[in-house]
Amino acid sequence: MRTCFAATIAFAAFCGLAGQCALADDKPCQLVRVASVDMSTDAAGTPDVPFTIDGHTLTMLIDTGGVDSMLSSATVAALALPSVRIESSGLRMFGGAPLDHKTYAHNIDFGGLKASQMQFIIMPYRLPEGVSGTLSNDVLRVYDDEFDFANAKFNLFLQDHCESNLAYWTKDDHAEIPFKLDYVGHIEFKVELDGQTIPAAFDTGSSRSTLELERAQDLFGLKDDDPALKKVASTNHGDVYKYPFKQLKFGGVSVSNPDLELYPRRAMAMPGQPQLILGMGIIRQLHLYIAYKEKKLYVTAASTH
Amino acid sequence: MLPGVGARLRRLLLVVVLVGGACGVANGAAYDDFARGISANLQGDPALAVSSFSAALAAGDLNPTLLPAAYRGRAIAYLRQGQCKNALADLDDFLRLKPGDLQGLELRGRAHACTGDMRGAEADLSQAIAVQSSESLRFARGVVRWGLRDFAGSAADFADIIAAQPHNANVVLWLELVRTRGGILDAKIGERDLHGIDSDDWPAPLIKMFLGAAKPEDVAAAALHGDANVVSGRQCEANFYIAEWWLAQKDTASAKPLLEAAIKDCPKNFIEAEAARSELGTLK
Repeated sequence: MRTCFAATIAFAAFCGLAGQCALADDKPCQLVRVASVDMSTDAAGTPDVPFTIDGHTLTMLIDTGGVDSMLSSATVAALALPSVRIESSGLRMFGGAPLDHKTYAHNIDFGGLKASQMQFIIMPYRLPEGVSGTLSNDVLRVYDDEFDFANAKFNLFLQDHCESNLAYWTKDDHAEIPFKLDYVGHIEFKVELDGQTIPAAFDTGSSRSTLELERAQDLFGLKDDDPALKKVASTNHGDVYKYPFKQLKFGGVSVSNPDLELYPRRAMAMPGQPQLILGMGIIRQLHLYIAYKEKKLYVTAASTH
Repeated sequence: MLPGVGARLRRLLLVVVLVGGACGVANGAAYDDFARGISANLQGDPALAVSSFSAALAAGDLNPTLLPAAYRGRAIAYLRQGQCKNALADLDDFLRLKPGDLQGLELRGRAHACTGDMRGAEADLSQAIAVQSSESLRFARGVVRWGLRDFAGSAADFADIIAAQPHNANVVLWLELVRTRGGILDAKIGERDLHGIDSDDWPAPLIKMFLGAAKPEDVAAAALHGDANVVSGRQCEANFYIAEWWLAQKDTASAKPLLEAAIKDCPKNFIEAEAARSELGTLK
């Protein structure tokens, strides 16, 4: 179903922007931007964009850590959309809660990209206040995505291009970070935390960066009674801790004293089972271009021109 | 430059500053301050959040799309610091930029309540509920109406939440509190609400007290069970709710020292801390 939906959106994009598509045919090497929308930040620090369903403008969270796009149950009720049970979806939220209902919305407009119908998973829990849903990998992966936080823009580009340097906004130094997509489509790459290499997922839907507690205990020999291991919160699946890690590095980006919360494995349970989630605390300091076809992130500091 | 980003990005930022200056484009520093403010709020550092958002706003070149978030972020930090009037001013600016925004109305409602303007708080929360009701908005208005001594209106808000969330023990507690204070408690309905939470654990002893099934001294004793962290929170709650029970019995003298203890000992993020302060203010 996800494939059909993605195709629908891609088809809509080509139909809605025929002129630009023609340009793309004439000059296949040119980078073609198909949508550019204002991107704000909600109180949880995650990125929001405007999105229209049947004439109603909603605020949606851009979530690279999700699988399918979602609408909150409150939004589904407010727009009087149908709720359809999904048999054996297997989808789960961060924390393990099952996602077992979906809906269909019509007359979609996202920065000029249009679709007559779009499927959303219904999210049973509250999103950050004012946020109606999430746009996730079923949409994001159809294009290349640019997060320009300092200029408050989220841009989508056609993937059919041949630029070798996609950090087009600067002639200065930038980092290129190869990644792979895990089985649910999350962007995954290796990071180095205090000298230990760990697979990490890139998640704009996560306010903070998180590390699996048990993995941290294995890698760094952390004991429960380590005085540097500070309990900061509790979940139904165990306590959450902080530890004073010194340095996190990935692809030329170096973060000192990274703000990482250590969650029990069961509390982190989410598709793909990432051991470290790189969240917005770090991501918002960057300007990023995600090139899905090349499987590379192009990165500078957020303020780089 | 945000703390925590290492040498390579510092070098990139240095280039940015030079290029930006030459081109007359200089929103980098404002954005860095903005981003630092967002992180500071999430990490529970309101002082750093206020200074960072203030720097971002003062720079004058923060991207206009981010301006509302900067005002909202600083207002949240001000609220955490108890600087209610500053929070109110920022939320006025936020709502000028985003009229009718639900979160802005909810936050401004909190800021009004924080300044003691319960009518202003009720107006903002009612406006938000009229657009799109939610449990958090209903709960906030229920507490504000308790502050206004509109116990029937308060009970209606809490009862609406219970209809959807019968297991929500904290809302049942507030519902029985305002029913008791307002003299509109029906013991049978209260028993049904208590049955709905399906637990004898805390805060059930508090609810039983309002329903007449437990005495204040039983509640005070129950609050002492558990580990040290749990006990300090429960003692805070016991002090506030037992004070409310005494006020329902028209015994202000017994209520006052308990309210003073709640103000002194309750963690700042406990609703009972602000509620005790508000209640004591009305008794003076």
